[in-house]
Amino acid sequence: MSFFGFDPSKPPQGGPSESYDFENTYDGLGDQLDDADDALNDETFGGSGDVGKDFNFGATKGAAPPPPQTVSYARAAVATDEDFMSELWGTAKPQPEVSNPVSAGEKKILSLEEIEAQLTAIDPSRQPQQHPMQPFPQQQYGMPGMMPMQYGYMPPMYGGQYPGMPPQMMGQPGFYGQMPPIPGQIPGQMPGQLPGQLPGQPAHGQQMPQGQMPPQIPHQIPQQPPQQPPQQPPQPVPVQHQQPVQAPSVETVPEPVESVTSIPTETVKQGENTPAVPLSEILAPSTREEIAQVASKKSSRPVNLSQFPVLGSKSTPQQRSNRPYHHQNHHYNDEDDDGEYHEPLILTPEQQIKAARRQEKVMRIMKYSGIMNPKDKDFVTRFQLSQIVTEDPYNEDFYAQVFKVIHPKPNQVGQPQEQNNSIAQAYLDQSGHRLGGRYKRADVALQRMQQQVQRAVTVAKERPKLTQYVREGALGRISIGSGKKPRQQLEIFSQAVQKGLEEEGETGEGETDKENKGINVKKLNNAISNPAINTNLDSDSIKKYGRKDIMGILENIITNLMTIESESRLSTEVDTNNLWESLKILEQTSPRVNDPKEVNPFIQCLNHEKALKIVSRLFKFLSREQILTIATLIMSNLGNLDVIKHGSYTTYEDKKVPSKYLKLIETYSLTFTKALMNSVQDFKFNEIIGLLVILIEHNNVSFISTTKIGLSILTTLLSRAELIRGEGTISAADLSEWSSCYDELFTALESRISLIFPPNDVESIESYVWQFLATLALGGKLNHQRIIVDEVRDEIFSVMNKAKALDSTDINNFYKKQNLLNNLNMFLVVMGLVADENEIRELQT
Amino acid sequence: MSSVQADKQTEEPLDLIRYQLDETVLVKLRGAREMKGKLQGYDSHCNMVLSDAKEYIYNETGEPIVKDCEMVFIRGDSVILISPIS
Amino acid sequence: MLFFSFFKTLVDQEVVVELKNDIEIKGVLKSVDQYLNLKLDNISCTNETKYPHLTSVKNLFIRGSTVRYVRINPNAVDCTLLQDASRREAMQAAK
Repeated sequence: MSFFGFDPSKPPQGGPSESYDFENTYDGLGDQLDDADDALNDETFGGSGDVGKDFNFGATKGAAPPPPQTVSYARAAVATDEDFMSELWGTAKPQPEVSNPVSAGEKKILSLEEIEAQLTAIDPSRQPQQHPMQPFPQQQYGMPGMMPMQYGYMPPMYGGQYPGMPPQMMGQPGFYGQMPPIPGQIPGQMPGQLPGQLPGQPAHGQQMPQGQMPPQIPHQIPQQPPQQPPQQPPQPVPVQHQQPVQAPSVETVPEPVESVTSIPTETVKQGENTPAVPLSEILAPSTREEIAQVASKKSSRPVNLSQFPVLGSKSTPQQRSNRPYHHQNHHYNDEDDDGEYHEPLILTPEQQIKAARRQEKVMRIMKYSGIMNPKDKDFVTRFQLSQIVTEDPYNEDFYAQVFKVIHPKPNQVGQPQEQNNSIAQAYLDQSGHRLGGRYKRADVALQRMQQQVQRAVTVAKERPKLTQYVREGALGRISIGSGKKPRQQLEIFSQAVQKGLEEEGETGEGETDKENKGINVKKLNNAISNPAINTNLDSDSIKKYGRKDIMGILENIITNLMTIESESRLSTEVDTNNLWESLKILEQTSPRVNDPKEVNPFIQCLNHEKALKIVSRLFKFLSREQILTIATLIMSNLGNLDVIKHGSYTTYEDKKVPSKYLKLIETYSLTFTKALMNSVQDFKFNEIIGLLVILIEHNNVSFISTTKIGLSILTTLLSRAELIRGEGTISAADLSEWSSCYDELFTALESRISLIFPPNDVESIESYVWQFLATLALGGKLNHQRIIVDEVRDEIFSVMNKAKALDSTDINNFYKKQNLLNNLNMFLVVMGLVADENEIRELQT
Repeated sequence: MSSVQADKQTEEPLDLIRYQLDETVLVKLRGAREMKGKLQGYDSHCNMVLSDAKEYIYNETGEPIVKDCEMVFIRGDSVILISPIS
Repeated sequence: MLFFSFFKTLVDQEVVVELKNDIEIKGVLKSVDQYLNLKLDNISCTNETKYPHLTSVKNLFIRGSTVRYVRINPNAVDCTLLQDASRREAMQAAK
């Protein structure tokens, strides 16, 4: 508040405790204050008698302005409404200092009296000055107007002036004084009021206390002709500002300064930023009016303007003019003022009319003063500022805006976020980021997979089944020996065993390079499963992607995705070419690599959680074909995914997947698996077969089946194929293709099916395993089912025993038991069987 | 390392931090401190938010003091360097 | 502006502010500005015995530049959103 020396001035003014105490000021303000003020004034100003009245509020540009405003407001308020005043006092914290002066001025009575006194007292010479002053006031008003807007209160005279005034003006001690000189420019807009004020202020310099600014404006004003018509607007003002002329008014200025102080930063800013003229023009009317009103009301002599000419005689007129304001400013002037004021002022009819008009205007304006208290204004200001800070608040405040929508606070005060809500909601809809976020929903993907499997099972059951023949011997006594391609099976069987053996052998032996076992396994897989593919690739054409490269590519993808998401909020047509290019799906698609850095970059990206989190967002902007391409790439590169490579218990000595990878696997289940599930719904039967074939050709199926994600993918594809098959619209060609595909898959798994059960599974809830078995059994013929049952018989009984061992009296155990049996039965039901903890029975339908 | 994208023209230092979003980073701080955690957010002042962070306070003698924090904002003016860790 | 925005969402949450002079202040975040100055309510010093200065202080204003860390309740942070917001900020800075 007191940046610009307001403080310094204060002590002098405020010296009396009264200044701070509103009540005190209010009551006895005038006289007492005057005395004190005078004394203080002398101190501050150096004791120049004349100066006292002249306070150039303007002089103290920065600091001074605020106080004046308050004062002016206060006065205005008083004029209109006492309550308003009291409210001001009570609430306005920053203004306290100012308030003192204001308070003095505040007293309606006082102010009126004073004004009258001023008017009367004003010497003819002064009067002229006043007139000039008036013009200033206008300017001030203009300025003030700005202030008022902000604060809500219209500083009647000073405040208005100061704020409106250009910094220079503000700074200049004798605003009014200046004004007067300038009067020509600024017609006596303020005449009545200003005059009073100006005259009141005898000693320009003295008043200036705040006067830090004072000297700036030479006392040209006095010289200026009083002629200026009071009402004439600020037009001249600009000139004034430019012109040092105002300086003369310096004396008067002090008051303005005060007002300035009251309106701390804002005022200052205004003064600085805005040319006095524009502001004054805009606001001027009101402020001027206010001032005029005050003056006119109180003294009904606004007319003093006539005296403007006197302005030239700076001191006296100015002093008086100041007076009214002085109250605010300070008592210093009051003394002088008092004397002067007491002198009766006579208004000409013209003046009276003008005054009345002004009063009217002021009244109109004042009607709305005080509606907002300082807090309100502060809030509005801050709110406006926050909105102004950026043209795109949503972008700037993105996190908070979206966060509020996602996590609404019940007790949050309604805020104007309505518009943003829709944007934020759109963001959420598109990004679906919650699924990948910290707050994870239930395992949606796995649930859906289970549902799909169950549906497949249901569909399958409705078909005539081979299984019926087998029920009896389902658990081992196989009565029907099917021999579906026995020779083939044997071949493949042996091959599978060989694979396994080699795999295990190689994983056991530490290779020379840093690559871990998982990578070895992968390489092995590739070598074995793609014997036909020549491994001698042209190394020159192969790019190696370092970690930083991958992270760069991945961030680039995400950035493109976010760009597209925000574009799609604006238009439905979105160009996804960039996004697709950035995926680099078609680079280095070969799954067989000598160095993990040579793996397709997108596949490498999938080893990072943040890539997984965006998969479903990504798929929203890709065409079916593009997604199919991605799926194909992934199927051929399964062995290159960390979740597969490092996700099999078989590669670890303790048969446990490290927690580091478990976490990644968990993320996969929540993100990638879900996205795949959704995509697969759109794939055609032959496409699914194609994916399976690719998967089988390029990977060690047996190894993959020992990983959770691998098994989930198999389950997803198989169950979807089974569902489509259940629809019965498959061509014979497709069916036979499916049949051979299944056979190939089955032979890859045969003899190793029990390995899909991870050991050390404490929870023993391998629902995904049973889902897979159910799906596998569904697609198979009788002999397949027989083999499956045979291989997992131990697991079946193991589950039953576990279930039996659980004490059902414990509610938790009861659920656990149900869970175990439900999972098991998902598989058994396919073969028309159902198990409880004791036995396996035929399913009753 | 980046044999592929060495030609990436417009890679700025802050991009390297961006690459580490949602990844684990090591942040070296004034006052003989380090912080490891998953980078959840950053700005151009190197203000950061890390999750599941471990703070290491080193002193002349013996082992550093280790403090855990699930979610922490680090003011950028304390940051000396940020490094990826895998 | 990202973290200004971020901290706005933490208003009324309890946070622990560690200052560069090792004082740790726990309190309810009441407001924040673009300098990340913080206003805390209902404060207590987590290492009060070491730094008893603030024993009788109930609320305070912290100049942002004196902050070393602010520990936050992880449930009050939307990590995915924060990451995206970071990227947006980076994107805008790049423009």
